[in-house]
Amino acid sequence: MLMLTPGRVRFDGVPWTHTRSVRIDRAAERTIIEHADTGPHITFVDVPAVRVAITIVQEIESDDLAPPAPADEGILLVEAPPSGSDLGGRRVRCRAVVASVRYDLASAKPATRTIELIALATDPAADPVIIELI
Amino acid sequence: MTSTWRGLNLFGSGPHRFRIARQGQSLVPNFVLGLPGAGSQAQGLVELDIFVEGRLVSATSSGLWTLRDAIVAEVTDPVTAATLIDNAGREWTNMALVGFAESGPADRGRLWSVAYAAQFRRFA
Repeated sequence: MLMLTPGRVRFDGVPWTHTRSVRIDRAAERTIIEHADTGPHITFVDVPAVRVAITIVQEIESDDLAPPAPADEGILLVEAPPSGSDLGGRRVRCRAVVASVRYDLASAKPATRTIELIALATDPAADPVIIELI
Repeated sequence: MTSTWRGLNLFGSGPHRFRIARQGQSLVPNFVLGLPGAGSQAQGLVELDIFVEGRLVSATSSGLWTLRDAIVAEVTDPVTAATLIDNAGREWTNMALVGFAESGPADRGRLWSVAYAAQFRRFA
């Protein structure tokens, strides 16, 4: 899931302004692969453990003295404004924990802050990322 | 074709493979028998052990328990000997289901599954 021009972004009630992009990656943490006796090809595959990783890139225009810290937990809200063809906007919501906070100070660009989070599921059988119409 | 034991399809819900354990003489070191010197004594042929190793698979948790319970219910005392047939149709007669061990916790991905090893033995 990728949002290139997100609207408002808030984590644990704190607004994260000038957000350039929000990326939500899903990948297998553990994969089951099984073969059978009667041939070389895989006959069963399943993914019993999934990691939902969220990467948020913000442009930083001034000193950043109170960034989030790894292990901080909260509700992440991302509002996507309505496009020309949509009837309304969408809100992406999930509970997440901060995994890392990094800065990029390449001289030719505005400074950026990249925050990586890992989504938490209240129900382990359900996708932790909820998309709502607003 | 699917494997069976006693005519029952116990393992067919998921992939499984047959492994034949060591065959040959039971060897006992001399010092264990109180005999002098290095070396060993042959005590006779070991009993045939065949392991079925695979994964039970179900769409539901309760369905997976049904599959596990069905196998455990066949581990009886006294043992029941019957014909074991593998996925290619190879047969072994007089095999008793003597053990069932799960290799880890059940997994819940797209489906419910658990890895296992079932042990069969042909008693002498």
